Amino acid sequence: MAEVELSQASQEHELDHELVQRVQRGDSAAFDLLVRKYQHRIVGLIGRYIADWSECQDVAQETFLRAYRALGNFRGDAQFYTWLHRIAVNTAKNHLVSHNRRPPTDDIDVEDAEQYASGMRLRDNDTPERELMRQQLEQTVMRAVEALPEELRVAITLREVDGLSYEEIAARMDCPIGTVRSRIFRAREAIDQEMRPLMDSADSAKPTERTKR
Amino acid sequence: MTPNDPSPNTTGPVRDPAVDRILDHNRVQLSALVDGELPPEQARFLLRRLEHDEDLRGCWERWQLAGDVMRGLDSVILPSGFADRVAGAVAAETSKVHAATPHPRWARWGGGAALAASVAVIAMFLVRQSPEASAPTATAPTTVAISKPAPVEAVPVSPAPGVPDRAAQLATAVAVADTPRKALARRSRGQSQRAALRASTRATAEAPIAVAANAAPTANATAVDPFSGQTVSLPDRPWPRAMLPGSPASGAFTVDYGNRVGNDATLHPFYPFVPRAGAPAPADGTDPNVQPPR
Repeated sequence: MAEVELSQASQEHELDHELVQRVQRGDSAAFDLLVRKYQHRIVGLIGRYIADWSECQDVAQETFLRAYRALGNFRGDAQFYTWLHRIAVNTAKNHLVSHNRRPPTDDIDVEDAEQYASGMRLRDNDTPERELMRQQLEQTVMRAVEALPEELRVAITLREVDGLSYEEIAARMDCPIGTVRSRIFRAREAIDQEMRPLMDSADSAKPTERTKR
Repeated sequence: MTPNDPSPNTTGPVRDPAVDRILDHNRVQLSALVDGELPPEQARFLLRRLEHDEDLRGCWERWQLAGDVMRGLDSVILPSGFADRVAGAVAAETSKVHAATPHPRWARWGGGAALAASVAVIAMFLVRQSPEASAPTATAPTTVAISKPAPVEAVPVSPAPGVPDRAAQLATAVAVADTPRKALARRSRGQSQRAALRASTRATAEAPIAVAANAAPTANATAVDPFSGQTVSLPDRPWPRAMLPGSPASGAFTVDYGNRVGNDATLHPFYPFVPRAGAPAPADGTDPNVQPPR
């Protein structure tokens, strides 16, 4: 299992490294892809420090701006998300200090921060609306996965949850790599169909939530 | 609707199936890119396409979010315009940095330095191509006079006052080059120049041969035939380049292609490499034009 996680992290690291190199060469569109990839995770992390949704987004934007400014010095020794996580935590704590609020004494580790089960104390900052949205998102995705045909569900689970490569999945499912690629794509399309209404409703719900604060 | 549902979407706009195939192909490639399974050359094209394709970027974002949720990562849905806000802030940051960054010092001086270097290169080529600059060093009588100074009949000509001759300049350069490094380090530039001038004066006085060599390429000059040892009169060589005054091609021993007229041995195309008139062929087969070593 550790090898699997290592393999997935390596593939993610290679793609991020390619995008980071593009940004360092002046390609800001590559940075947009990094933002779109990690924005939901970063806001989820910042939400553990800051309750207000509007402030969360501002701090997340500031985090990405700081990352963009410092990206020229990023050498790629660590994974990009680990580096971005550190910037997000520091930015959130600085934001709290600048608003005369006491930041938490213990930081959120990059591993702990990403799991629902851990970091419960810091998640007390979550508003009921945000917690509801998180649960709806999780239920929608899981429901979509369960509704998939068997071969699509197995393929997408082996890829996203177990982190196997296409070659390993092909060996496991006894089919060509091209079939694995097609099955994973079709599974993603099906999940995406279920997610779109939720994301649209989240778009329309955010302004009303913002006005509550 | 399940992924395997074959029923067509009747509510959406009717699209060309070929366009659908292309869009599907792009999304299949994007799915492989998300998994890090796309070959690098295809990834480059797709990343470029992502810059301009809003729908594809939306897919990228949602598929990443779905993967995060499936892995149990703590993620929250952001408004769809958040990434655009960040992109706008990054663009503003970039333009601000570009406007605020002054040109570095090397950039300010770089233009002048490049211009000076260009002028220097042009000047170097002009000097090297100038016939007057290269004539004394390449003229044949110079070699003759130095290798065998005794029979030279040319009278050493002292240079006109105030006009430095080339031999003196050469001696000056040699004197400057020979000055020990430590002495150069101790002396000022003026002292070095004065020492060089003194050396050039000495060189002018001690080197009449060089002066004679400098005055060699005249119309009726005489020189020693290096092969026969006799003094010969040197005719002018009207080779096209020799029409230029002081051209190295106007040397008396310059070889041309035989465009001359007349029977004079000195006008032979390959003068002075000509057989002597009436010389009997040696019995031992040696070349009569080659003198035995002394």
